[in-house]
Amino acid sequence: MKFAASKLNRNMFRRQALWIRPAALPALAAAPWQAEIDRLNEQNNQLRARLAQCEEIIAQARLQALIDSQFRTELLSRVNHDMRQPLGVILGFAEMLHDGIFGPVTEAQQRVLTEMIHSDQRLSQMVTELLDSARLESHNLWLHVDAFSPEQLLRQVRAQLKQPAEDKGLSLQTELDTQLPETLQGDANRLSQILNHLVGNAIKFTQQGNVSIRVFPQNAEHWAISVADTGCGIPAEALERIFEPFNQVNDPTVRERGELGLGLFIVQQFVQLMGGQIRVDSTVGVGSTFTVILPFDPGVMKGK
Amino acid sequence: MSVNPTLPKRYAMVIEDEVQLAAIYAKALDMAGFQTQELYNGQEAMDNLHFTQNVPALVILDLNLPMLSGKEILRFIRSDQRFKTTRVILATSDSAAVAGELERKSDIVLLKPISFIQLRELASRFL
Repeated sequence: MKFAASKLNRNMFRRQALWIRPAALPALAAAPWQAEIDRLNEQNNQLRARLAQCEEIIAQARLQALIDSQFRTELLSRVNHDMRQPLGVILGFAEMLHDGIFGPVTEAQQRVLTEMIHSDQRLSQMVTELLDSARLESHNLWLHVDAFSPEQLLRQVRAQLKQPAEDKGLSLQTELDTQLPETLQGDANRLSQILNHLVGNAIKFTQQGNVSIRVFPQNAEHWAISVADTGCGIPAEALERIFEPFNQVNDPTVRERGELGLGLFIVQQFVQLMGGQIRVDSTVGVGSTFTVILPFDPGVMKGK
Repeated sequence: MSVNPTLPKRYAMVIEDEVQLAAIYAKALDMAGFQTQELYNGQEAMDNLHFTQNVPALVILDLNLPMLSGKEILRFIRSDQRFKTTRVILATSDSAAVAGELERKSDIVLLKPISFIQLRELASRFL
């Protein structure tokens, strides 16, 4: 009996247990999609967690890139300052020697000194370009918009580049459209940098003829500066790449001149910061015209 | 360039911490006809400006100076009536750093490296 009783108890227990289990099952049995929902929820949670991880990684990478580019800008800013001191000493003493201040110099010595002076100026230009491109990259380039005289801007550029043009036997012509207001709004320093670069380039690539700068109203909202030359022109396939940074790295003539190929890239970036656009029309063997079109009302104050 | 030897020379200050640059600027100003004094740090320049009886007609001012910045010195010059006729040529390594107030308060901003010839010609116009 004992055995039977115990068997019965076991059966009772088993029966009870069997009876309980179906009571827990109805949810699964009645809603088979619940398991699928749970599985999807789980997957969703896992994906959310991975997404959060990825976002964290991207945010950290962005921050690191920003720190890197700001560090690079800061570093270049210091290099710029530290390099300009000895560049100034070399330029000053070379000019004094060239001018005969320390005693008479022969023609050959003058030629060497002229080369030294030009090299110094090229190096200084390269440092400026590197710093500007680093500032553009780190979104750290500000425009200082104020009223300026386009006539004075033209006069400045002419004063700086008349001699290099004449040294090559080129005529440098400037024309200010009388329809243009006496003062315009913009960053005169950066505009001067843009013009210096475009006109400097025009002089470099023109062997005979002239380089002409024109400032004129484009339409009711825009004014424009055009720099036209009678130089060698730019082949169509190269036109697409001229605004790319370091685009001239493989050009041996440019390498010879010791340039970085950053000038036109920086010009385009400046123009875009000013809310304008730059276009180029060129015919090989005839010449090129670069036109910078800018709004009368510059709404953009800070870089990219 | 001809300088009238009978006229008393006008006084100019060169405030620049790089000694060789200061010497080059001073030579350019001397040749333009100025009597020039070189000062090599911001504090020395400020003390000199505070107590000078000789108002400079021209100041070549480096922006990056030890002890006291060129900005402070320029502000002082422009706030003191004694220097109302003083012309200031600001020498800077970074043209972006001088836009705005500094550009307005100075007469000319020159980006380093400064040409000796250009400085001599500019200075002679301020005689």
